[in-house]
Amino acid sequence: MTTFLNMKLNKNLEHNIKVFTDIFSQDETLITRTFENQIDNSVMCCIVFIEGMIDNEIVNENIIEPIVKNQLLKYGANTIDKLRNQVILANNIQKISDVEKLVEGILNGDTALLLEGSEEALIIQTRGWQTRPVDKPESENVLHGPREGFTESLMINLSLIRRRVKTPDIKFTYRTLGVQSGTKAAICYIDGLVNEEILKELYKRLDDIDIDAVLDTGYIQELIKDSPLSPFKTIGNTERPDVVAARLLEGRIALVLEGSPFALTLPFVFIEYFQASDDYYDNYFFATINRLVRVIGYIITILTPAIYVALVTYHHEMIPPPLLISISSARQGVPFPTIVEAIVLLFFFEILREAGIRMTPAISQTISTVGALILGQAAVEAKIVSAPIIIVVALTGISSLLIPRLKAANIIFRFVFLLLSGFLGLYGLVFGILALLIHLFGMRSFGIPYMLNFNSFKPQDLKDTVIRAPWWYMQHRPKFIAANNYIRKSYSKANGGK
Amino acid sequence: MKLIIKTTLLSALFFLNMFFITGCWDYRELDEMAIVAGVAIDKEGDKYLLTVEISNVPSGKEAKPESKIVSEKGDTIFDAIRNIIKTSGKELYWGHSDIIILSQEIAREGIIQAIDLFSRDPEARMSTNLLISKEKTAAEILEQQSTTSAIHAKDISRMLASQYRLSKAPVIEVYQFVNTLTGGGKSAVLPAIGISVNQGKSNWELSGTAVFKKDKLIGFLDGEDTKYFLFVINKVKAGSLIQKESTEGPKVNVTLEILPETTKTKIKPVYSDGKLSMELDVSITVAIAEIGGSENYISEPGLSKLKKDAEKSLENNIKRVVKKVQNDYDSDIFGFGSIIKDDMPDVWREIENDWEEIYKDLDISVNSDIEIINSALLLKPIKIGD
Repeated sequence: MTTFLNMKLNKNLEHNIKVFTDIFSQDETLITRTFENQIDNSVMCCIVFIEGMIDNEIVNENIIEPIVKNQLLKYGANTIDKLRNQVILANNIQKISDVEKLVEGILNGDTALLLEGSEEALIIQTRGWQTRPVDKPESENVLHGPREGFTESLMINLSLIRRRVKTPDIKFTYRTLGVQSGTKAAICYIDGLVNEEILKELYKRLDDIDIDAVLDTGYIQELIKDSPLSPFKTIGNTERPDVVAARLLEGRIALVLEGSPFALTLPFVFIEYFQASDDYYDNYFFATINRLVRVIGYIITILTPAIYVALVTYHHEMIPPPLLISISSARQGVPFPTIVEAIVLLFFFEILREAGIRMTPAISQTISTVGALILGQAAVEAKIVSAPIIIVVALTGISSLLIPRLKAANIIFRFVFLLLSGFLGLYGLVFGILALLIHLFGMRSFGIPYMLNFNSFKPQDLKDTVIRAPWWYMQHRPKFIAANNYIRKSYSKANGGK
Repeated sequence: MKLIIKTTLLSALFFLNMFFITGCWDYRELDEMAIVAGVAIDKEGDKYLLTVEISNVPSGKEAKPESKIVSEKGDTIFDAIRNIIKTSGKELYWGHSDIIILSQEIAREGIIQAIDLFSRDPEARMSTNLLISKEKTAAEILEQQSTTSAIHAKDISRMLASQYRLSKAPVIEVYQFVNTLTGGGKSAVLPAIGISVNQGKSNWELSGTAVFKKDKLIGFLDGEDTKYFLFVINKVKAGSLIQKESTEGPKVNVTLEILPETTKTKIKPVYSDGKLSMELDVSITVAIAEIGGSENYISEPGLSKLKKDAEKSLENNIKRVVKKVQNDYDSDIFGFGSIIKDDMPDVWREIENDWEEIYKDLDISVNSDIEIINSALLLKPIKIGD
């Protein structure tokens, strides 16, 4: 790594240019362009920038043109200030002599302007690179509600959030993460709503990060999460600015990272897995039904294979006789025990899922056809597996799609439960469920109980859990998270925010 | 440090034991077992002859269960069951067995050995229905072809389930029978099943009661008598009463439908002057279901007469059945003894030892109240126009 700590600018332009060409040696994207004023050609300048990171129009029309064509410019001791104040047309110019800062600016797409006879340089904001336009959030489709999703540009993302919460109370604080990547992150929160303790804890954890690069918020999520060994997330992420705005208004904190279209929100509690942004835009009856479907889907997706195996291999008396007979007939001639059938088919399902994700739509259609044919029909007809297990696995697979964010945890617990009930029947399954509950109830996200409101039967606490109460009834923010300002409505200020 | 290792090892041991000492090691694949639908028990010489109906499931797309009947002898029931593996090849699964049919011979000799296994074994259900065969053997009941479904035992258990609409046979499950046997102050009964020939086809006929004294069968009540027996023990859920009526001219049949869950019988023991008697109070709500003539029993005065006559014949019938049981079988199937035990424990202690003698001559009085609430859709009898 180049050390530029000992490199200093002096009054010689040639030397100063060499400082940068040395630092960026063998980097051919670094452009240095020397020019002088038409009238007084002792005003010699050099702009240093990286090709592709800057907006050429700004550099040509607002830096080069005014300096070259200026009729009044005379070389003198304060030329550099004159350039800054009277000549260059840019909204953000800083006078810096620190080489390290200049290099950082250049790397961020700014242009450094060096002047013959000056130990100081100007750093002019000329950033301008191609970014993806604001697009639909692919991972969080909605029927109702805004269609804007985050992009890879931090500034665009912050503006998307700011446009939704127009109050000076919303704060954006920058942090730079990653020693090599120097990625800019913005921590957003609403002053007065945010729980200061959580904010302090977040800063502490961010400061503890020691890594060379963060290329996506996923890095940070993993680096600062509570219960690092748990498959459950304790920090949420979203592609949707409206979700971030809603979370901020509940007193949560968001972290937006340059280069990542996913913003982190924290603290994150278990019920958020089941909350979709549609819920808040649709009729509350419909939203409640959808919530229930998701919760039941979750239970189905982790328990169905285990319950099926337990009933079929241990607790035959719990199956109604006609069903017992039809399962028994379907199993005639199948070579593997039920538990093996279940494991193999669930694994097949995961193969199909993983194969489909990264394929173009055209190929993934082939995959689903082949998968459906091979697994659905041919395998049953060839007596490799029995038909009921196909139904069980299909049900499991479909309902796992209801809560896509729980994928990892689902796969793990599904297999653990399956093995437990395969060896011990329902007795083992009950042990597994107990262990899962103990794990979930023991977790914390930034000090907030992970199962917030799950152990309560008070109507106030249940408003936004399995049911989604009408908006006029949701007068309170989630407890603990927005501890300082519990009441949602405008009178919260009049009541001193308590 | 040593303590930590010790506690970890101990807790690991406890945790592992939780799995190993449960006694739940009964892993069995469905296709490896023969699902028993019902069983008939006979005696041949000293040996028990077990006839088992298995829901045999052929493999294939359409899972139509077939009835497969196997039988095997053994010194005990358990022995016979194990012997069946020789012929069926698969282990029998008793969790869904619906009925146990016992032959008269076994029942007369003493029923305990035949049913002990079914109430002791964890797999067989305590709620399996018990029946006594009126035919020579129990096996022929189970072997009788069903007209409605493939599995014979399923049909019989369906007959038992819809029996409450008729009230012509009691429905008794294994645990109820065992409880009655061990409880005291009451004798056990079981439903009786036979084969009747109807339109050239033979079929089951579930009708009547097998009367036990202690654990031995001593006789049967027919279907009609069973109904009045069920009135006494307050087990009539629905059914009908047929009343022959006439105001003038020939008698016509008026059918009274007993409305579901309306029958209530209260039995009160009366002890006066050192003599015991039982007072029965029967109240029923009925509707006129059918009138076999054109006389009017729907409005007064016909209605009052019908009510009075129906009450009277019900009272007489109950008395007749009780007398019959007292005289012929000398078995307290009505549970009068246990009622006295509950209501008058002091008196019971005195008479407990002489109960059999006292029961034989126990007087009963019956008081009934039949409430006729409607006559279905018609307000009048059907009268032929002039």
